[in-house]
Amino acid sequence: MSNKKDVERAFLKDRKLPNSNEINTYKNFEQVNSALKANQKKFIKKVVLASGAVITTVVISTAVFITTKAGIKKNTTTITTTTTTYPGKIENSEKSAIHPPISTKQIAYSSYKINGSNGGTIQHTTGTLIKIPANAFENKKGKSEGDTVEVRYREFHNPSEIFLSGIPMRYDSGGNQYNLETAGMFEIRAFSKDGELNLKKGNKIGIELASTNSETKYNLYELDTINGNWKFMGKDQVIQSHKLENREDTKTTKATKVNYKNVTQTISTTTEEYPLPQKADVNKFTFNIDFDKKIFPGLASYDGVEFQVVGKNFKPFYYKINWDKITLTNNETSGNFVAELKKADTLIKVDVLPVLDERNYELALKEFKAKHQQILTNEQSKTYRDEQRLEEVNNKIKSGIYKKKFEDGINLNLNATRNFEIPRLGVFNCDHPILLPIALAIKLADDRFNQKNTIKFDKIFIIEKGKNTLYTFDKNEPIRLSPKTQKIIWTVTDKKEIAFFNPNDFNFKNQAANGITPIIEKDENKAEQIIKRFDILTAN
Amino acid sequence: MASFEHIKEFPDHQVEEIALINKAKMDIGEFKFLYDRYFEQLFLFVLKRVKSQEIASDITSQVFLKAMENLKKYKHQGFPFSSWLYRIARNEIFDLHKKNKIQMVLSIETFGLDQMIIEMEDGRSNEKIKEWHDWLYQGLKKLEQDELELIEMRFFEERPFKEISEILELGESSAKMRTYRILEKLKKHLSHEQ
Repeated sequence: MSNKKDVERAFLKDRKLPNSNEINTYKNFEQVNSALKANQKKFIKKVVLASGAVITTVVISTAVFITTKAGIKKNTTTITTTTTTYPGKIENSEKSAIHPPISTKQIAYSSYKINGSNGGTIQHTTGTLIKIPANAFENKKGKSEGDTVEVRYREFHNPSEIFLSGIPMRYDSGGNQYNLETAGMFEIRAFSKDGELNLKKGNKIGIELASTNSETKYNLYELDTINGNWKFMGKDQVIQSHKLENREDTKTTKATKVNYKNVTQTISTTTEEYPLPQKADVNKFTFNIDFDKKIFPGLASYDGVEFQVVGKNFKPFYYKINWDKITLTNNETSGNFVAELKKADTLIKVDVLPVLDERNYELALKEFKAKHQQILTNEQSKTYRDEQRLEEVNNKIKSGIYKKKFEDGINLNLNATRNFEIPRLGVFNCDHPILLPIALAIKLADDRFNQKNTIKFDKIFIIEKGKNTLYTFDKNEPIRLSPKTQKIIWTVTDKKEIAFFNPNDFNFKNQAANGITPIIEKDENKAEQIIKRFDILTAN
Repeated sequence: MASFEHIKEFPDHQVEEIALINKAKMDIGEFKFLYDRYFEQLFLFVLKRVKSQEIASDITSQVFLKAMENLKKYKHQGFPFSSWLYRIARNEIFDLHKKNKIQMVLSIETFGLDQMIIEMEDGRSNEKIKEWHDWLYQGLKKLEQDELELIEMRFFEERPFKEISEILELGESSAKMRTYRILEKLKKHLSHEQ
């Protein structure tokens, strides 16, 4: 430490730091790897020293999208669609580390019947494929099971499902306490007339798990269902694919959609100056970018705007290629955008110009400017977007749509698949560990709290904005949280009622837990909906 | 020649990381998994010490480049891989600052100041908290750089002492002891200012 003493540092108080999505726009492993290969150390240093010359302003960094659902259907021989559901109770539950908190609200299993001798591929309602080899099962006595095998399967994708499942998400590593943030978790079991079956040693079931998340930072873990520990299994396979859809007539302003529905990352900008859309030229190649305004708020002004190719380095067959990554960057010299289309080692750079239909240009431009101004002047745009999303969910809850969709398991944006093999039946999770917050630790089970509260409970549950996990704390351990984040905190009482805490009571000045009292929500369905509302805030 | 870690020598919770490191030692393209895993936290570590996201982005790239160049020499010593990355980043930032290429900053968080006041167990009333913040802010300016680093990591970045000790290559108890001595120093400063 001593060699760093002679440093003077400027103090910056309460800086606004970028969120994960904004940080991800700076990620560029290919650049670092290329620099390494070419031994361009000096070049990189030069970039560091010339930081004022950085020109990247708007980047859409497309992460991972593996296989479309349509693609799966074409290539599989789904053998059964029996969808009997079973309550979520696990056999030998008295020995299990899995304790669903509300017995009447468990996540049900879907049941599929296959012939054990033949094996086969099951397609779950979410799109997940379960590939079972022939003669894969044996009963408890080690006898091969060739007759009808019933496979029971269920998935958990968001905090409310994790909560109802009762599956522990805590992960201890080197004395540090982590929570596993999930990109999809599932449980698979098999039964025959002889009872529960095992997977024979050496056999593996292939899983193509439908996932809401397409990032590569996740690993596969298996739960030891008796002692509640997670064991690292390896990495899943992630395949990237983005396709510019084909179009018949490439030289009209009728644009071709670039499918960005599966993008999970966002853009950031260092300037609020975007190029104004010009009048479209019907003789030039043009395409749309079908982005989600909520995911790419910086590009919200360009909703409905087309991008016209400038120059001649665009070929019609580009529409047919599954691009790994598409990046849109501001070119400060020309005032246009540069679209970078990347596939393996091939990188195509195309200058593009935002354009509007020439027939209604003046009106469209006026609308564009108004919309753009509105976005720029909204200083609380991030909060606003969150509120907007919550409002949408609330409206859907009121209309019953969201609740029905949730119960049907189809409201999730399961636009990616994660591929791996499992050597056993059980509970598996595509996860990455996140450190438990250390900012604040409040213990509710101390004497001061108990004197003032008659409510009895065993666990505290916390969902935090932006984290697709459920924090669970035993009543006897300090609740660790960051007071700055948006969250929902609740418990299940000994009478199996859900009781919500006011997150504002959990702050630095109240570490003695004075006056922290949960409010019981008597309506079980309403309580469940309140928790589910926060799923939308944790979604990627 | 790359030195590979024998996974069986390490506890389960470290096996995953060692496996990724070993894979990257054999094929540097596999470093992408480590890059993806640590990019965000490393970027934030750097950003909190420099003025802009663009500078942080460049330095982060440089840190990963150095890590990739030196990966074969990396030997797992029971610390998280991230500690090694942080150490590279820390040296990189100091070097650039020393060469007058960048201005180092300290990113102060209000909640960190609150936490420091709690740790100092000072019996001052809540009404004057704004005033304390100002005094504490001035007090921080009088600290040595190595003292400031400990306060920064503990209170403004909320790092456990174990991690701080790994990054700064100190013993954990030494990190704790030094931190509390610095808090005492600041407490004296506050008393003097009142």
